[in-house]
Amino acid sequence: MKYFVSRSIYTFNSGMEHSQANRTLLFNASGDQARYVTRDYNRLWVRDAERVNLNSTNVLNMYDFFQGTSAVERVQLPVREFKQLALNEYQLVEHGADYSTVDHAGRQLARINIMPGTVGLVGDIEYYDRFETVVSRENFDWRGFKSSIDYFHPDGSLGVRRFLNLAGEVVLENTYMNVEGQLQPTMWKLVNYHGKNYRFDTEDQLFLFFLNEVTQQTTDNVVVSDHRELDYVIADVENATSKWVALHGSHVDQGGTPFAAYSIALQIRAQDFDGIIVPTQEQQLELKEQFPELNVQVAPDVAISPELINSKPVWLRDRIAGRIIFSGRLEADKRPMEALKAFFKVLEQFPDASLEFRGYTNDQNMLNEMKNLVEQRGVQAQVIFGNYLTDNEIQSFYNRAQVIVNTSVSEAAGMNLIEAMAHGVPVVSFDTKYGLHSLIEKDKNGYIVTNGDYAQMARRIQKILSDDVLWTQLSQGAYAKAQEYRFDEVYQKWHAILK
Amino acid sequence: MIFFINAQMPEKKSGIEHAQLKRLKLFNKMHREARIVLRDWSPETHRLTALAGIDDEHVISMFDYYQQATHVENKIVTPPDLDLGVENLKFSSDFDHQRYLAETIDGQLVARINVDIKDDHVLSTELFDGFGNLYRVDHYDSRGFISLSQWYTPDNQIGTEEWKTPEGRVAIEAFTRKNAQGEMKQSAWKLTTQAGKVYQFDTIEELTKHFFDDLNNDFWSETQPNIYILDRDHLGDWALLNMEKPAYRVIHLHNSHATDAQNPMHSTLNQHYEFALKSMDRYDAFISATKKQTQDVRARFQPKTHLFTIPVGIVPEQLLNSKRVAVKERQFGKIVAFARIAWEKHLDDLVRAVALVHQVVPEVTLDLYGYADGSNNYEARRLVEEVIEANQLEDVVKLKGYTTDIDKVENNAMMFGLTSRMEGFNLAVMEGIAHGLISFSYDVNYGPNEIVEDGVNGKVVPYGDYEALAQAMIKVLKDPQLAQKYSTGAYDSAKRYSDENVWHAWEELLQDAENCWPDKLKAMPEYRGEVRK
Repeated sequence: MKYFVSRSIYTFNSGMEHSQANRTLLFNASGDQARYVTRDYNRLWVRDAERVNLNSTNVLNMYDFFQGTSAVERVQLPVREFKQLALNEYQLVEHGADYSTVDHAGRQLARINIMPGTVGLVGDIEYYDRFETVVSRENFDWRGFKSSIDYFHPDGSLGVRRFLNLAGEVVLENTYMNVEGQLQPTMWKLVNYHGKNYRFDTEDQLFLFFLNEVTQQTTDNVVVSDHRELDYVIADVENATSKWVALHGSHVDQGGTPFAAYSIALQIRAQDFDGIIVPTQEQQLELKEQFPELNVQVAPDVAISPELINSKPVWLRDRIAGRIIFSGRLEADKRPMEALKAFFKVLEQFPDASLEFRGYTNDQNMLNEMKNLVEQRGVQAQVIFGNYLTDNEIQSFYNRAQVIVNTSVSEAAGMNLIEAMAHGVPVVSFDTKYGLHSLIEKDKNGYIVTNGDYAQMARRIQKILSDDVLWTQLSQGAYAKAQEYRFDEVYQKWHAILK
Repeated sequence: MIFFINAQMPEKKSGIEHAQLKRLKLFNKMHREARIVLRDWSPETHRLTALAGIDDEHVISMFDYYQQATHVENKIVTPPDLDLGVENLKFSSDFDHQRYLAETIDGQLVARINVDIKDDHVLSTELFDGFGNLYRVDHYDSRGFISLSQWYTPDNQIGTEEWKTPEGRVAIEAFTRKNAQGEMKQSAWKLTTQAGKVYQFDTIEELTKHFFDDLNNDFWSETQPNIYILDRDHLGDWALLNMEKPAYRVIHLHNSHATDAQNPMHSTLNQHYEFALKSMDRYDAFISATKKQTQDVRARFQPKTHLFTIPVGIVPEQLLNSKRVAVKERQFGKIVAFARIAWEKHLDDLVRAVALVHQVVPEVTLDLYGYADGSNNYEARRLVEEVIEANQLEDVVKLKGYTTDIDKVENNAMMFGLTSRMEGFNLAVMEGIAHGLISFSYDVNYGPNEIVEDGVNGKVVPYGDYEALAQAMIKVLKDPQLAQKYSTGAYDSAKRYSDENVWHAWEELLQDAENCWPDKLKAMPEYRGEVRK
């Protein structure tokens, strides 16, 4: 069994989760059983997993495992059919789409929050005391069962979270107490796990226990650590025939110094792993130079599904003329502002061109600044700041584009560029790390311009937009390049490493 | 079903518990189903009820009821049985605190295990996290399961309390929060039933009401009402008035309704009963243990609710039929008193009387049986001891402590002394007359001046007049014929409290409950038109 291990699957995933999800699909599609293993508690993980085409047969969450709910089918639990409400005693009062309250003689005793993104399904229920403070909260899983109960300290901070099995029995307790005056989680206690109790001081102690338990149940275990925070846990896993660290980005800062988070895998615990897997030869060479004793292997962190590979090309006539796209988080390291500047230049020759951003942001200031610039320019109708798209929604985003730009400080391999190419979108990219020179071939599928030179980027875009023959050539070249990332090709590379 | 409602059945029982136990025995004997209902939680409920001779079939504790723990096999849990979730613990005994300490090899405290040193069974465990914080205390039921878990706050106070089923499902929770003044208060109760329904309550009184309703449903019958006898008022006087469905609800007065029992018409009401007395006609009935109190209550409140006089004491048939001991076979001059040595029992007055008797009849002796009450640093005992010392009665008056060997003591003694300031009945003097003891009592409400009949089974003298009490004793001690007459009168007068007579009093109440039931049912919308004749 292959275990690809990281913290979570999120509503908004970064390249790391996408890469891991892709690899999980790739292995299972190739008849090689693999599981995406997550540590963090997320009662909506099934919904999030489905958005990256995963499900409970190929994802294994630690909390789920101990709750015995790994393979539970979803049932909808509408508030109006919520059996635990004693409606002969209490009145259920709806307050818009987000919540209802449980009232008694005109007083609100409890509040039922609707499950995010659903109509009227139970998400959680908060119980009030006579001082109207919240004393406990029952959290429901996306699949419609009561998953955990939170109890609060008198000041309102979380005191204990207890995880339940389907029968409602407590299987795991997580307490929050003070350590040197600071409230923090201080204990995870497994209750009656195969007849015994186990107390842990940290979540990662529990996680190691979990990984050792899980790997007991399977053979020929190959464990890949995908998240740098978990390398030190996986270094201690016992029942593995081999253990690997997969990198999903540059391991060095702009000055070339390795990031501290990578030191576990590259130095401190390097001897506990069989090797490091990177997506590009460029990064491999860099690592070998810095750490000659390391076993560094190369395998792509993206694979293009057979459905996409076999789909018909989208010709120029079916795309939006002048549509430029940017895919990725709208945060400083992606430099979306540079893309915007290049776009403004493009506008000088193509006043009808448009730019579509897709990605989430935690940097609201930068987003506002960009929106202000767009407004000053008076081109609000031509710049789209779109929400994060799920895997299912992203097809049309690519298929209506004419050019994709990349302004990132660095990329592990330009996963989004490869995906764009798989949809026949030519690339114009700054010259950064890693692997862009082997991915982007001048005049064949795109152009690399001097890092930071947005004017040069704009000129390349203008050239592509102005020459339909060139565009068609580049688009064909992009489709062709994506062939290198076919499932069978990528699987062979991974298989050769992981065996 | 008939419910006798109390808080608990403690080892040191007051008159209320004794009254309930005797009553239960009588109901059992008469094949009439009844249950002792205990409202308050204790880890020892079943040890204590068993000790009191009540089997699990006849007791319903509210917490047990919701914890699905009314019938649980006894299991002994000892420290080695505990699974604290940490490997390689070492246990050391800390006998000064009656506990064990469980520590890791590095000496980190994982748990304090409090035990009953008699047999090492676990009473509670204080659990610590890996950072030395006490986060929870688990209390074990005497039958060997965790009944109550108390979760601690970072500043070491009890936060959430939860009561669990023997299988570990949380049934009842209580929460503590700061109120607007910043004081920690119990702020909510939450009940999760076996079927998974959730109920929320502000106070334990509201939970009690819910419990009464559940009992009413469980034992519902169209032919007769469930009868709730509330023996401790504060537990359910409000709840009984607010039940969802009809029942026959009875307040049992176990003490004087007035703070000054000698002024029953006008003195301030006894606070315990004030609410019920002010809402009197909303209950179905009131019980007093004496005719005199019933009369006084009727005179003062003129209620429409029904009043019943039912003695709380019952003299067992076996005792009534046992061989009588003649006065001349008894120890001459031996006076006994059975009472807690407490302020309201006023035993220092009894000693004063004995001091006067002793001057005339040197053979007189007094044995005081009962626990000393600790209030005001054992004030009552100190007062008694002062009178003993002042009159040099060290050889005459003895403080004997508590005894259960009543037959032996009372078959040997000659007289019984009673100088209480107020009473609700006084089981002790009833037992005294049943053993043929000649009784001497102040004229005090309620019980002493009814159980003791002046000139029949002893003498009743004016309240506080210990000289008169002494004179009455001297008269009897000097007149063997009179003594035998009173003793015989005592034996005879005990028949008032025979099973048969007390049961007859109960039957009147049970009949009243049955009589009013059709009308109550008819008044219920749910039963409109469906009531059987």
